[in-house]
Amino acid sequence: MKLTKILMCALAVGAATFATSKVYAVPGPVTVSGTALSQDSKGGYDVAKKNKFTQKILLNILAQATGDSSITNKKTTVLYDPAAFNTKAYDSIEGYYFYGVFYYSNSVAGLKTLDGIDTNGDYYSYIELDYYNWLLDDIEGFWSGDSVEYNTIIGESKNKATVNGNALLYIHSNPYDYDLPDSDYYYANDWDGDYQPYAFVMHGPLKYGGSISGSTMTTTGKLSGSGDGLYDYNDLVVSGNASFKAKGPAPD
Amino acid sequence: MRPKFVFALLLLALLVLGAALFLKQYLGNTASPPNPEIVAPAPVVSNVVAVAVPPPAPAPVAAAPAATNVLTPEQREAAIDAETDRLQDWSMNDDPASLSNILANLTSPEKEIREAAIEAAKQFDSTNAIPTLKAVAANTTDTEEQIALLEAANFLSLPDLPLGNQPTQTREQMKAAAQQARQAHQNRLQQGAQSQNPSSGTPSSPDQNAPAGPNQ
Repeated sequence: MKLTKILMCALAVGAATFATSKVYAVPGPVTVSGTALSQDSKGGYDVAKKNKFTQKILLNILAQATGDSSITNKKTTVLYDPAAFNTKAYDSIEGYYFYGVFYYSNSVAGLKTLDGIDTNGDYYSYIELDYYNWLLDDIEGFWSGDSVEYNTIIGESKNKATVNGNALLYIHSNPYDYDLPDSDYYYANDWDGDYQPYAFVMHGPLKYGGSISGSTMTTTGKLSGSGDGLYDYNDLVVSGNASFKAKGPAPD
Repeated sequence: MRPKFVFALLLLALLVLGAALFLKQYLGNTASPPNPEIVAPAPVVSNVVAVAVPPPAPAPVAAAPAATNVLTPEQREAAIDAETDRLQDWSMNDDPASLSNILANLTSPEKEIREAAIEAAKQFDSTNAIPTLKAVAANTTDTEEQIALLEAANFLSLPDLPLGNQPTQTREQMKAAAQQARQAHQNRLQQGAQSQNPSSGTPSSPDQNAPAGPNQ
């Protein structure tokens, strides 16, 4: 059996197992960095201003959006588990069935998810990765073939498999501005009149890998992309990358 | 010439030749032992060498456990993982020792650690890393890595996006805004995207739609 198939089976088993015992679902840290162009003026002319952003900006956005100041006051890690079935979205949005759960973790808050269901039973989230995962053979986030690419090129070697496709990472301060699978939009701009304080989009190639070494299974991902952004209600054009690495016990 | 004299001469020549051969072999043995098993150095698979050469900056903490060729692939991978975890931790600090540790790993023999060190240097966000990133790039033969190092140096030279501090809207306000936008989006889809495409008309102004904030 090809390694890709083995990994697909292993990850599928891991995903299925997560629902019961969480044995194989191990969230891995996510890191983002990039540059943002914003509008400025100089000498009566419009000019582009270029700034960089790092994980600090992501944490600052999440701290403000969630109202949890420990995200910036303490060492906080943002985590992603691509193999975790998103039960909250499944329970609160009719007809939605996808994988991928983001968390944050620090010494005060512990481990908390970055999505959920509010008191009215409505789904909310602050960050999502929209991706058709060929290794899991499943949908992550609000992926739709209308908004994010489907094609994937697979590379295999003795101990690992890598899939090259495209994905969309969307960070947003309005928790109800999550993406929808039946449309090709996100609210990191004001085209539809919505204007949230903070939003970043990175849409582009994602190199996603899985490997099994001895008793350990590792999944890695690196997304490079660009997209719209909003920052303090100002327009941005964002370019950057996000990476994650998750490691856990391999299935028997 | 007498035969006795000729014989003695030949004997002397043989003795000299024998002595020369003996001396050559003896001296050759002492200068370079022929046994390669004794002197062949073990291939370096860790940053042991990097640690052995004292760095010019304040000595960093030993970046990684010495992973020599006696490690199994699993142990080697575990050592790499441990070091990348440490790099992630150091990248969230704000002290010179952490930066020194990050920069020391830019020359790790392990590509995975070097890549993690470049990202950690970006996340640490100090212009003090720029000279080292450029210096390492100048001595790197891997073109992709050279580009990554120089991009990281350029990245660090940019000004930071300032930390924003917008007043938080209420949940109800945010939910209403999202519902309104979804409805507007559905309407646009039904009417046809072209009629409201920003590229074919006047793009909506952020100032018209933005809630009143400190920057507006």
